[in-house]
Amino acid sequence: MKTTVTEENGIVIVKLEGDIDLEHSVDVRNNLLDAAEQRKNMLVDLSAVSYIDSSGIANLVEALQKTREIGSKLGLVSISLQAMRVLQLARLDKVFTIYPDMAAAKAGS
Amino acid sequence: MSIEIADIPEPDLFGRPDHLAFLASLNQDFAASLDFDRTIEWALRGITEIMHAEAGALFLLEDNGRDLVCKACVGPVDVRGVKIRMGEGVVGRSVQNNRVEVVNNAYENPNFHRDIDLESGFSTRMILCAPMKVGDRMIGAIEVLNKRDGSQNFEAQDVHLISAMTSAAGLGIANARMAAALLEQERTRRELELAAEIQRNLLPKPQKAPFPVRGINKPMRKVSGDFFDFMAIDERFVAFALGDVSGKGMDAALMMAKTASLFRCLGKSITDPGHLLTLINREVCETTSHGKFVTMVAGIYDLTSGALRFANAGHEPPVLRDQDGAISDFPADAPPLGILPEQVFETLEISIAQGDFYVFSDGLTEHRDGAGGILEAEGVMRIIAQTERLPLDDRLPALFSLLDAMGHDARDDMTMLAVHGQIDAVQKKKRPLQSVSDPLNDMDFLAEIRVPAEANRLKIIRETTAHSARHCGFDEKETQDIILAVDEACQNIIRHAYRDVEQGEFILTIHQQSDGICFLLRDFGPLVDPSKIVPRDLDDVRPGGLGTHFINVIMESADFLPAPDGVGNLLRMVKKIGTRQ
Repeated sequence: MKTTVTEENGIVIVKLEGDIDLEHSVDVRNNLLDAAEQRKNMLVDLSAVSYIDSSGIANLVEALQKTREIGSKLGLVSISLQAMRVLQLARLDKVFTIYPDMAAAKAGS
Repeated sequence: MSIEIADIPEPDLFGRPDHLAFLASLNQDFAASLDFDRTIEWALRGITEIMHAEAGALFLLEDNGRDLVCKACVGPVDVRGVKIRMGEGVVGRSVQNNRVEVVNNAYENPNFHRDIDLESGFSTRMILCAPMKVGDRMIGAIEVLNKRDGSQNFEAQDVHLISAMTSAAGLGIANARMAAALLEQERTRRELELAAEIQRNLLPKPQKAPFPVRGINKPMRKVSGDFFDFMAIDERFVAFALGDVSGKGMDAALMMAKTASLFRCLGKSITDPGHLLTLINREVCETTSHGKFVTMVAGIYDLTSGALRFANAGHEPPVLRDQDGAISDFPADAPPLGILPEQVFETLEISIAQGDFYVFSDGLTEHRDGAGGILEAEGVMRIIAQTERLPLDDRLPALFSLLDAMGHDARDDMTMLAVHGQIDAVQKKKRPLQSVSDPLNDMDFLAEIRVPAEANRLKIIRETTAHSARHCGFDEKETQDIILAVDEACQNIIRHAYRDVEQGEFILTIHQQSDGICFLLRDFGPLVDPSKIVPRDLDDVRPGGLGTHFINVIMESADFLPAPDGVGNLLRMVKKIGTRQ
């Protein structure tokens, strides 16, 4: 599990890699909330996420709530089929703004 | 010229029987007539006639105590609707000073307004105006204009005559008004009774066992600001609510009707009580007025598990009394409905499998006990304890009888609702059916892993699960689902079963079935109360509680079996091939 935070044209990009499960969700949570604290629009790149569970989904929901509170935007980018399935099972796929790839995300946000 | 009535000698009223007869009939006519306007006109016509005047007008004082409005007139000019301020003109002065005004040369009198004469062509020569009083209350005035018999002046006799007739007319008017007020009051009373009946019909029809909810409502006045409701959503769930609108009387009753209707309508489709209250609150906030608000508890009870989920909007804490008499209460941490439109209400989950859940309005807690003190929550709990052994149907009526017996009138609407946990009996029946003597029948053993209950072992579980699922013939999408469900089940053990234990472990056993896969997950933690494991409501976007939902959606079945030796928990999850939704 690896998290990389970069900034590009005023957008904070958080790239998550590996399995977001109970073992790692505390770190993921902290990283996402820290990134949200920068009070900029934020993209979470999920292209390299191999597995996500309910605790990982909870992290994303919390980050979304945080950005809403701040007044910035949060978008999810390049969601794997597995992650998309979990979002759909949780019926949260409509709650998030989801971009197919980074180019679309940067154009969109 | 103004004349004090006291200064004038008595007129010879009794010498003129027509006057006396007229006075006598005045009162009767007012009392008998339903048409107030025609009656005062008739009275004025009689007075004008007796006074031998060319014209007359009757003014009544408006409720504002300042304006006099002409309600009836006799003569060539219609002055009905003319408004005169208290103290202005001849009529206004007569009323303000409470004395008869006599003006025998109108155009020379500074108080006379010529406007009406100029407009109508009528020539006012002389005015006689008497104030109309009932007891100490001024209600208007009657004026007559111009004597017809050619005399140039209103005399002292005329002053006394008009005073007598005006006060008779005043009495008649007051009586007629009182009769009208009585009629109005009677109409209001009938309307109130109708409202009370409509309101009673808003309450749910009493249900018989095994329906688990009962309610009782006793309004302090005719209509109530309290309400309760319950309804079966399906064979498994029963929704209920109890609310209390601030204040009493008609306005509170109307708001009660609105809130109760919102609950009945939305409660059928929205099964998360917190979410339900959030929506009702938004609606109530949009239309509430005069600072009215509603405290309310809404809940949903699962008949199969004994799980009760509820939310509390600023209401008296509901009370759970378990079979041993132990009491827990659940104070609200959210404000009443109708105050903050953005408020989000949380859902609490408890198990009442072997207990009873009571919700009541503050009419109970504020009721006076035998010694005259306030009952408070403790007093209510004592009464609950006194009635708990009664059958559910008799319990709430008995409880209200005990309140009555304390000998004090209710100071507020009193409402109470009881949810009876009856899972004990149900489970005793169900358990033997569930017990599987040999859960391994019809199954090929695939793998067994025994791991410490630690998050960093989950990857091993996922890998093993993935290989097993593919081995059984599941495609990649189904395999991903199965991995998620098993992972979530193991997480539940790590997070909940061993929360208080340092070194727990669990065993995952995987079997292949002819058309699917079976997972047995065994832990050695404290017994899980299945009723406390409730999937979250998905309309509610908040972190947490998702895992159980995933398991229920993905797996064909997921149920707890009796654990061997009664130690720990045994969860069985079964998934069939080709059933992905």
